Amino acid sequence: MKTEKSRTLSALTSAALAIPAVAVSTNATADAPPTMTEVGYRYSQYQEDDLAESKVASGSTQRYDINIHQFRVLTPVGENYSVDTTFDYETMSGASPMGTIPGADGDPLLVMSGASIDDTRMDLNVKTTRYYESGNASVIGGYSTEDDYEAFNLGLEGEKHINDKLTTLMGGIGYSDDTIEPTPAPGRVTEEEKYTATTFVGIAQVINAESVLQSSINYAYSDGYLSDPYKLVDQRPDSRSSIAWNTRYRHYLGSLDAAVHADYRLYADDWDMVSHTIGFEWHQNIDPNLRVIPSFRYYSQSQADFYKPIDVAGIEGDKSSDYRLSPFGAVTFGLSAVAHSYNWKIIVSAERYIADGDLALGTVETEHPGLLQYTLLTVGFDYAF
Amino acid sequence: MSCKFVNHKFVSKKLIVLPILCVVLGATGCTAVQPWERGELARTEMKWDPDPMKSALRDHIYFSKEGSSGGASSGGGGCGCN
Repeated sequence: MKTEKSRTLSALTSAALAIPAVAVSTNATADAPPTMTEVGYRYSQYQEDDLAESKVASGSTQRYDINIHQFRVLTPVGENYSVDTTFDYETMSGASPMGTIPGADGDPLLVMSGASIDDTRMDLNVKTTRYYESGNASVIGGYSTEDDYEAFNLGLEGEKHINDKLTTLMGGIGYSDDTIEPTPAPGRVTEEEKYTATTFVGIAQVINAESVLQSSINYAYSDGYLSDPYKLVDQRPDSRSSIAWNTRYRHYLGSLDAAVHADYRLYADDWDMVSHTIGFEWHQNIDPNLRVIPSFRYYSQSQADFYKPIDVAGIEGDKSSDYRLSPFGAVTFGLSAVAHSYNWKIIVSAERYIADGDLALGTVETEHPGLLQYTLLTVGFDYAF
Repeated sequence: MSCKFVNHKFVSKKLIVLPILCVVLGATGCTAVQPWERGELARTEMKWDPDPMKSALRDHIYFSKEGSSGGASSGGGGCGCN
């Protein structure tokens, strides 16, 4: 697998170097600040399905119940600037996997926490953009805090339109400084830090009057404490390098008055993990004020090279039984409806996420018992004035 | 107790080449679309992210539930999503 991983990383790196050192826009035709101030709000609720008792050795079978309030204000400033501010307020309660032990048949069983975990997360991000004749540049700053976690992030992004605005190049860099102070417990770390640097480049091309294609490469490097302090046995490498190649396609079908979105991401990292993500959305206009959007996403990942289905304390080296590092596949089915007029929009959406070892691209011999299923519901509005 | 790796060998090479082909073929197959012919491309449903708040929420949830992440942005901060 080492060799395979190296080949994949090498191929992705070569491809990244082949892309012009800049990249894509969110709008293929125009570059100007918004003409009106836009405010938005979303309320989302999702409940992770309870675990089957047969998968749990001890602790609660009840997983997280999460509520999220999202606020956004996008406003023009002067003739050439805009400020985009988002604030998220998230509360969660429930239980989380702490580790695994062998069951009577040798398969892993979960050791869960009690259903008493409560946490609150607040996340503020401000993006200031300067618009030019044929491009734009943005400065991004953010801060998020939880009961036991704090993160600062900074970013710079830019876009340049060329070729009579048929081609857009873009690029950016970002940096995040994260600190974790877990709830005190014997043998648990008291305060740890990690740093993450990211960079991306990409290109978008107008194919014809109905379709546009975008491709970008993202490289990320994390350094510091990357383990999970709440797991009973968890020791991960102190660095991680990853490359993600995203390709996105948009096509307007005039005869159906619908737009098709098709996205693909290939991911590889030096923990030996490779993943594939495919997304489809169908944006169907029902009438001038109503759009319905069915969506489908498929995801498959291989395991990290130090992943162990069952915790073994006392062995040397890196090890983790985190289900997020296990091999699995997942599907998401979604349906959204957007009622809209010239200055308002109302959004209602529902999604169902199912992770399972059988959904992976390859064979998973031992499925992790903690894989998730959840239902996500969202309502919200946008208003411009 | 062992756990097989998910075997991506049979897809990875093809899927690496696929985006390259898409970009190359897309660029060579594109037509000179005049500014007055770009009305459909400017439609809300044709944006890369028609609903940025929804995209941000999805990214955050998948970041907290899956082992990989990364997109065309300079990224935000991490989270203690256990």
